[in-house]
Amino acid sequence: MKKYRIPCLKNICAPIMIFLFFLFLSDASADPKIYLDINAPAIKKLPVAIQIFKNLKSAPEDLPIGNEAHETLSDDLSFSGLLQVLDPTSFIEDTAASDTDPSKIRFEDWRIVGADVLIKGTYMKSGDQLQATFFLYDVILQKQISGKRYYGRAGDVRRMAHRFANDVIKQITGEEGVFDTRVSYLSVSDGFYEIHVMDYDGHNDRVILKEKTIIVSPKWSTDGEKIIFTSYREKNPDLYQIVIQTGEIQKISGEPGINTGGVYSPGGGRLAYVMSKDGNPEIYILDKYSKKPKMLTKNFATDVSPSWSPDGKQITFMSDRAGNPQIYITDYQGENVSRVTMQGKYNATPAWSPRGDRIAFASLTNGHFQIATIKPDGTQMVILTANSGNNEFPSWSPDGRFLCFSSTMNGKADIYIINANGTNIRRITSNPAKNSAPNWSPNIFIE
Amino acid sequence: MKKNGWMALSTMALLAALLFAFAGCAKKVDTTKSTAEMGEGAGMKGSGMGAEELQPIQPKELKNIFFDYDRFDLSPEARATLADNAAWLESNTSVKVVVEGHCDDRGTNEYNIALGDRRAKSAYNYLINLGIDASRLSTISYGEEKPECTEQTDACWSKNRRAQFVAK
Repeated sequence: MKKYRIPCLKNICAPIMIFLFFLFLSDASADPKIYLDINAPAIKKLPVAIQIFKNLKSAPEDLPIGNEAHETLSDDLSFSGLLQVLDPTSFIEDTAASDTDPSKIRFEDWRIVGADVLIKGTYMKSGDQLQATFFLYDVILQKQISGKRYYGRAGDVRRMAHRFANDVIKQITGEEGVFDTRVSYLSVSDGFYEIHVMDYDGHNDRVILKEKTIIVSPKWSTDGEKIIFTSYREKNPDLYQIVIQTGEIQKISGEPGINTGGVYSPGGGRLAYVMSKDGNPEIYILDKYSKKPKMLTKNFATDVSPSWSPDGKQITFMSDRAGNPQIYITDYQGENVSRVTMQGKYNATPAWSPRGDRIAFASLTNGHFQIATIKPDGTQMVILTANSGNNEFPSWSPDGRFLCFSSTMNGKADIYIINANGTNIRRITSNPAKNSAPNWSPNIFIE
Repeated sequence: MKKNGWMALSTMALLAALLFAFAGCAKKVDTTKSTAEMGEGAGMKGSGMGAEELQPIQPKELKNIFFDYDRFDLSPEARATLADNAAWLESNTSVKVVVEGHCDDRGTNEYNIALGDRRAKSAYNYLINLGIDASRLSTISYGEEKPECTEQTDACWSKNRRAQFVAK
């Protein structure tokens, strides 16, 4: 998986330093055991016990830090849909008397409560400095699977827990987790349009750009450093990007007519977007090197909302060329066009999964938009949401296991996340504005 | 009259003070806020002043035209309205007009911006065919972002699916 520099956001620009140490990793150097085959058709969730973390300084005022780490890790692993997080009140071993040395852990006590794997942790705060150490054990084999120590500030506690959740998923499935990623979205209230960025679980929400003019469809750049969007700041729907770290706004396209739907290719060197300068709305590809946009679609119909295949060789888009809006695929030369959706009268905003196997979109069924996925060959359409609101703007997590989308299922538009199999719907915005157009960031690491 | 003279003087003084305050304020905004942080007029709010974007004027003689759901072709009623609008524009040659394309809020924002663009261009092309000079006309699409009416009813949606003619 690609690694990216962490963006240092404008308003929280003090660098977040989490130093990472691998502890006692001798076991991991052997052929790693895969606990869950995540591509199996049905997964039996792996039961995990997460013990309340041990406060090494025994300072009662620091207890909320340990609780926040425990809650963050439990939420992440539970949302993964891969682990069953056991109720800590059932645990036998007392945290205060516990040890992290595998030779001193009474693994039989963890067998009794039903755990296959066990997570223990310790933490210590001195001033604003925080040190947290987490261990993952195999309860049946009675050995340590992984151990990591993180150093940072007290405010980094959630990030430390997210990082360890990523590690747990990697140890168990062989694939990196996405719990340290962000979601951007558009927040509209009192005539102001704001681009926000938050953690995938809705925490650490901050405003990246606030304008009084209309903003549409903010989306991450491939390197996670910029957000591309359409704004009316110069009295026309033009395409811009904002550098998150500096707040600098760069204009990308300001042709007469519309300039919308900007999305970078997976390699980052090409940009697909929509212009109507040559008559009707068509999709164009701008190559970083040639700097001259090339028309991808050439049709009397309206062609909008491009999304790249993970190999960058194809584009899925939305077109009304057959009389109503449907999802199509073309290669990046504009040839070999095929129609994907056959069912329904309005299928919109396709998003190609980073795994390549599915396309998510919003499908109008019984008067409401629901989130659906379909194979690129047009088979096996699955509708993931079923509520009386409008569910729109699906965007995949970088591992293709989750989606974020906006929904009015509880009245006002808010951002939700869902497991790609349709389980574990969770609302992640809680502000009073109208929140829409979420976009999941690429996987961002500092290591 | 002497009294009036004093009033005029003091009014001028007040205006000058206001202008001075405004200039100082605007300067401060320029140096301390980057474009990215600032919404329009946002920088002035802190010093007790407000600024509001004024809505462009729609000459009352220029009537809106309306479209069917997910369509941008011109109905006979829309053509008749455009003919009236063209006649007014021919006798008011100094007026330049932006043709705005709008949609109801069903459907996605991106598709609706595209649809609004096509609606605006339908009206624009028809006016040009009726003899209006292209240099007096331009188009913009607002998609579903500027509804006239916000209820979720057929009546409201049909009011929103419109092209609107606004003086530049």
